[in-house]
Amino acid sequence: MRTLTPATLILLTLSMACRGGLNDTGDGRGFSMDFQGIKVSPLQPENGDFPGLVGAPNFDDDNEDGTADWDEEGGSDSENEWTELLLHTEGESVRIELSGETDNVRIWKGDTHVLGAELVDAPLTLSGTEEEVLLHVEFGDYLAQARLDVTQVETQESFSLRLTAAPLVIYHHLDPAQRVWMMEFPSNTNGVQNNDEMAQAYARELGDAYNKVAGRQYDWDPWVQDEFEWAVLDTPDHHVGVVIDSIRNGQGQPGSGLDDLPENEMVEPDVFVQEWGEGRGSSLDYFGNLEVSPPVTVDGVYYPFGRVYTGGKGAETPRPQLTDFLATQQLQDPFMVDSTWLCVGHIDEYTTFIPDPDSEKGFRLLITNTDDAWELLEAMDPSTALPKYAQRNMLGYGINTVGELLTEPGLRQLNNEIQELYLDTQLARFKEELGLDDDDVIFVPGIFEEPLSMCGPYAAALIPGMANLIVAQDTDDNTALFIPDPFIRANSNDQSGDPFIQLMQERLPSSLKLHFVDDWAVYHMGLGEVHCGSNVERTPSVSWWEEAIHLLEDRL
Amino acid sequence: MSLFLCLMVMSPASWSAPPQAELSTTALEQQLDHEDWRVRHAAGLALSTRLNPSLPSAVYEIRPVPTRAGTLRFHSEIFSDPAASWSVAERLLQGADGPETRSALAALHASIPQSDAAPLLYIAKHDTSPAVRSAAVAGLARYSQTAGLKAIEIGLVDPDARVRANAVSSVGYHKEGSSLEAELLDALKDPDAQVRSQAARMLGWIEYRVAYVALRTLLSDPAEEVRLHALRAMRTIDPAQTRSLPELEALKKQPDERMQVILKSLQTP
Repeated sequence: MRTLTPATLILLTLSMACRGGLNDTGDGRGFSMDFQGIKVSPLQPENGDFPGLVGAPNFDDDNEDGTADWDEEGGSDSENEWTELLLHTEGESVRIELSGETDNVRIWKGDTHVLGAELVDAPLTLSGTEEEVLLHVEFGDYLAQARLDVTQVETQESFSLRLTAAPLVIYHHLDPAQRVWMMEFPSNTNGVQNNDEMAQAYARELGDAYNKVAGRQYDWDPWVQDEFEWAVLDTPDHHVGVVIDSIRNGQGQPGSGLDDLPENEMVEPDVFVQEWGEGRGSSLDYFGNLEVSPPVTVDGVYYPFGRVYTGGKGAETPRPQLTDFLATQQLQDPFMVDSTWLCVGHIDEYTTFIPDPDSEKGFRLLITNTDDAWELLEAMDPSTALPKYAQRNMLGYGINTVGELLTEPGLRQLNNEIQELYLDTQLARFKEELGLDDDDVIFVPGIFEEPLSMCGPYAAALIPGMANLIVAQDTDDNTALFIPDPFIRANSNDQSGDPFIQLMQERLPSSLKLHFVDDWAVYHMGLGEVHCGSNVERTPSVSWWEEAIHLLEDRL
Repeated sequence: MSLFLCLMVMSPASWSAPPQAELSTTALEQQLDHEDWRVRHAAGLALSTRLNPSLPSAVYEIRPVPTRAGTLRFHSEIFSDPAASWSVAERLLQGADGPETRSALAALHASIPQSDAAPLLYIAKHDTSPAVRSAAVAGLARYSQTAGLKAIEIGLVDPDARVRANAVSSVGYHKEGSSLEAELLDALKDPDAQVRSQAARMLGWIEYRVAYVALRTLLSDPAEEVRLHALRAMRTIDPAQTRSLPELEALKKQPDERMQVILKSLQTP
């Protein structure tokens, strides 16, 4: 049974006073409704305009009984997605009508379901025996929209209140990081190489924000980026975490690899898991192939949550269920760039976004550039040894020196082709879709190979792809980048002698703390990098009901 | 029963107690130069087992891990011991693993220094799985000079188009790949579009001027990738002539942004 607590009343009153929400009579009463610190009444009808009352779809499981709360009858003491609505009746009978997407909205009076959803859409009449009536609104779908028309029966005075459910929003790299996941690979007796150095860097720099994924429990499936994507349902009262579960299914059957990680370790009150699509997806459905730009303005339209982008082309695209759904959320207007030329096929392999507070837009697009890499290599002493690359046995490439790298048959032709046909064309696509110009771009030196014995004629990074990085806040609240170490040097332990690192240090914003981490054995040689092996939960940094109303079509 | 046959019929489980071959170490070492690769293989396997009895079982026990593309790969430092190549070959030849693991074994075997290429050439020709044959061809082409060319030649006539396409692509990464110009020209007529597009691509990479006329016929190929790589190769071989081709008008109507990039580059001498 829900009652309006004294603390809530005080909070509502204070909040209304601060936001100028009290009605013109100044007494805060009269025939009206209070919600989320706002008062709507016949004197202030505009306060009920879209989006009006904002709530989160009730898909989590606050009472942890295994059933989504929307699918349960009644509420529970732990329920917190019901949004409070305080009706002042002045002791008169009041009629309330619900219209719009009524199937996806319920109005509760105490624990009694009084309007919407399964009930017939007959108006609710309150007798006026109570001066104040506490109602709750519950939503059953993303971005569900409805309207309450409230009429005092005797005077026929009325006002309306819009009800709007939160849309799903996926985080971008400017949103502050909250938690980072990675699977640790200890060495075993067979000498399987580990990722100790990367794990140590995360533990040292991120502190408690670093979450280890248990390798043995999840079949040593290291591709933590690909299995799930954090998103949020944000409201003025709180936010609900949504773990979008990929149809990757651990690269195999349901239950294998990382498939069960979100359900096992992330579900809790105010966090739920949802999957879009069925069956086993292709690599294009993995979430290294689902990213979000920072906030942009494109052709005069401001996208405060950025725009979602995926990789694909022609008939080779992610399955439409998720991207179609994201399009219906209206805030992050998805677009597609070509990633089909890559062996893995993910857009995180050659591009990303990083914060740059000193730049005009507050961020930079990073994109791999092969010409820059050749230029750096040609400036080096060709006899420079490359011990990481010299390894054989699937631990390296059998390329002993810079000179050998420069003269490796086919490599120059391949990279010229990639630069011309893919990197240049996709950079143009990014600029067009996101309204970017040359100043917004930082080129990252990189070279690709075609691992024919594993993939056929599709590309993968030969030099660890430095655009494939993680943005997170460290324990001192610095914004840090965790970048794959390129190892273009004779002494693997001395990063100061690496011209690729030096160039990145020159080009990347000085406000960022850079960590070049060793991802070679577990990730790079497995056709991935730092970003592929990590996953980040973030915190929303703006409010959609304040900043993004212009993107939400009024569907009523 | 010969030593070879004896070793070939052993099950992986018997590796914990490898048979002590009747032959002396010296005799086994002499057999490493035998002209029949099967004799070499059996001798190498016996010798490596004698030197490091735990190595074969270690090789058999290692399980591959998934790459991000979902294919499998082995990553372990035990393969730094060149002697491991004999056990890797044996595991591959016995065929007890599934095709995904055998593909990873083929790629691994090719990358082990000083490994005998002959077993992998055998796999490139005879394995039942196109994926395994393809991995063997590409692996050998990547890491072996003479055997690499042989592997490519085997792959070019494989009944499976994926293997042929990979063999064609391997030409461009082999130091002596240009010696297979004629085979690449033949591949332009392959019924499979990916083989044709890869052949066009590689002919451009090696700048084989003789191919120009044949490439020109592919500008009207039904497959977009074939047209794209044919034009790009022609631009490499003879940009001046390509710039004036009447076929360009039809290509300008294609929506593929990559094609438009190439056409645009042809506008400026």
